[in-house]
Amino acid sequence: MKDDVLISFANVNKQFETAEGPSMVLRDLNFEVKRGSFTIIYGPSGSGKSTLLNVLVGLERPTSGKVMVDGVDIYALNADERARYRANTIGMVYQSNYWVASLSALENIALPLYLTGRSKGEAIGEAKLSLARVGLEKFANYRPTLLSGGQQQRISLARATVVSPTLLIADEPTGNLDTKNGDVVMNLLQQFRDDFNTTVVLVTHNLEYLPLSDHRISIKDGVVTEDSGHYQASSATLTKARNTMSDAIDAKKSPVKRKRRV
Amino acid sequence: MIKHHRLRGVIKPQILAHMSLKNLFFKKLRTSLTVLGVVIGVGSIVFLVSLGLGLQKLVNRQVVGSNSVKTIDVSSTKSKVIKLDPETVKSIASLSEVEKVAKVYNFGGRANIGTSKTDSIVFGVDSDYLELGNLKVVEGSGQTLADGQALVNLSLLKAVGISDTKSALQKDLNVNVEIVDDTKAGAKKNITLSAQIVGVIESGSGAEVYLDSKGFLASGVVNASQLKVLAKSQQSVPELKKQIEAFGLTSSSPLDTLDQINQIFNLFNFILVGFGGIGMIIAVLGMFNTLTISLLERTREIGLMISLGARQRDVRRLFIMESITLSHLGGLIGLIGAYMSGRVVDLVLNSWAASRGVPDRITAFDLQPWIIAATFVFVTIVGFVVVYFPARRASHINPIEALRHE
Repeated sequence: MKDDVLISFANVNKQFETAEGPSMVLRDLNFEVKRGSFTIIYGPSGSGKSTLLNVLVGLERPTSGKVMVDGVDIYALNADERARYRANTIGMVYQSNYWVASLSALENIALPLYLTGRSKGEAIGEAKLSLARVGLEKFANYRPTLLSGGQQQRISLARATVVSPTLLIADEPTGNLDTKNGDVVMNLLQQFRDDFNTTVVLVTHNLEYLPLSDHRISIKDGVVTEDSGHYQASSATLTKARNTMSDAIDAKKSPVKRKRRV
Repeated sequence: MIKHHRLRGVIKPQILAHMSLKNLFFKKLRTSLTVLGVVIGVGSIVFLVSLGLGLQKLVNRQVVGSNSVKTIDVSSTKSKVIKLDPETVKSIASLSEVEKVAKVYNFGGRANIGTSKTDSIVFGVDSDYLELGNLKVVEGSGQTLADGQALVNLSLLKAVGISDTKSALQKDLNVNVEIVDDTKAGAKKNITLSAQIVGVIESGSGAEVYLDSKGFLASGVVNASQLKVLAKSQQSVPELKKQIEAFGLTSSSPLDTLDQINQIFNLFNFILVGFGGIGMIIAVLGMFNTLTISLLERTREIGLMISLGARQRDVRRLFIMESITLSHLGGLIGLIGAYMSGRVVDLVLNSWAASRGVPDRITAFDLQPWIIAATFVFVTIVGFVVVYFPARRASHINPIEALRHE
């Protein structure tokens, strides 16, 4: 595997046993994702996108095939090692917002840091920075469930990025948001990639955001129907995509200000 | 292949403890009710057991009184055949576990104080008896009796119409006693002995007079009526009793009564623990219920934690910590509650007793350190047992299904 490749799927199959018999959800998937890329995996509902993501984060063992992330065959790891892989390597944003109800927004953001063994003080300190990056410092002590959908998704993003993950995965992150809030979240995703060279894998059925990507994979009925491969996204494309976003995002006011190349 | 240098550690126990406290605090009412259940369960067991043990101690003390549990009373039921003659006494005294043997001689008699007369039992005792018998002196002294000195009991004074015990001291007492002259083949004879009252004791319901035994011995009494044997240790009492009974004598010791009382109290305590146990079972079910509901409510939360990188054992530990916190909190408050209730019971008992003229302080509630230690061991075990299934279920939650769970 080349050094610039972060993810590699080789002959990955996933079959579920259902009442009607076995069902092939992923069929012979083969693709690679480059480090620092913004990859969008798209396809209609039921095409196997979510299963693909679950396989990628190490929660769903494929029936056959090999999944390599950052040079590690993740299904050769035991359950504990895979848990540590998730905690250290992956940041995850879901369509719905999931929280530990008893913890404040700030502590929910700190949770991934807790899971990697940070002390409370250390974790809270880093969580504050992460919260500031999504511009919601003043909601630190709120229970996340009391916030709006858009705010929750931004906090979710702050939680996903707090460990400075190598791979940021977003599963329909704008699915439950209006266009304005959806654009805010998309902009933040792209900012993270740009600022921290984080590899972003976005799963969506919304083709509106395709111009933001520099790698597209189309999937249908568990089969890759199109793999664009990594290409240099023209700045014109990005600019155009950004321009389509709501004026709510003023680049100057964007909370993502800290530049840190990793 | 794993890039360990990049993988950081795992969640710290103190963070898990912090999260479990947050979770418990988040559901204040439910947590309080669950803890209350444990408080009642633990509190009632501790209270009842401590009360049972306290009462047992109290009754034991009443029964044994000031008698040492090391003393054995020896008498002969077949006094015509087996006599407590000097030879037998000497044999008993020479037994290895015997510390001391006191002799007492008693006969029926008639006591006169001034013009008042009453029938009385007359005891002839030696100095060892005064020491071992632990007579309860209410007036004057009762440690030693010189020739010509006497102790009388309250019943005797009452019989002769003296109500002021102090005024009885120094009064002259004449006793007419029918003794058995062992030197003349047990012939009965009447002797009169004079003495001055030096002490008043509380003993028995019939009139009693205690004199120095020398007066009897001088008149031909040889065989003792009863012996008081002091054993070297409490452990040697049962064996010593057997050895004494081998002489054909009868023996009794406060330990016999004590054994019986303890048997009854052990049963009593067992029943009390049973009653408390019912409360505890309900508390345990309450805890199980709380943890299970918590598990069901937090299915998605646990799914989230696993997908963020929590290990199965982290989830399991989180639940165990919550359970242990619940049970220990309940145990601690239960202990404090039981202790306070016990103090209240003691206070009420004492003020009631005081109102009835009992001067001694009663302690009916006895919370012993081993009960406190046992309570903590017990609630720890309860905490672990109750959480076993919920924690197991929690750690086996499939995060994908859990996050789909609405």
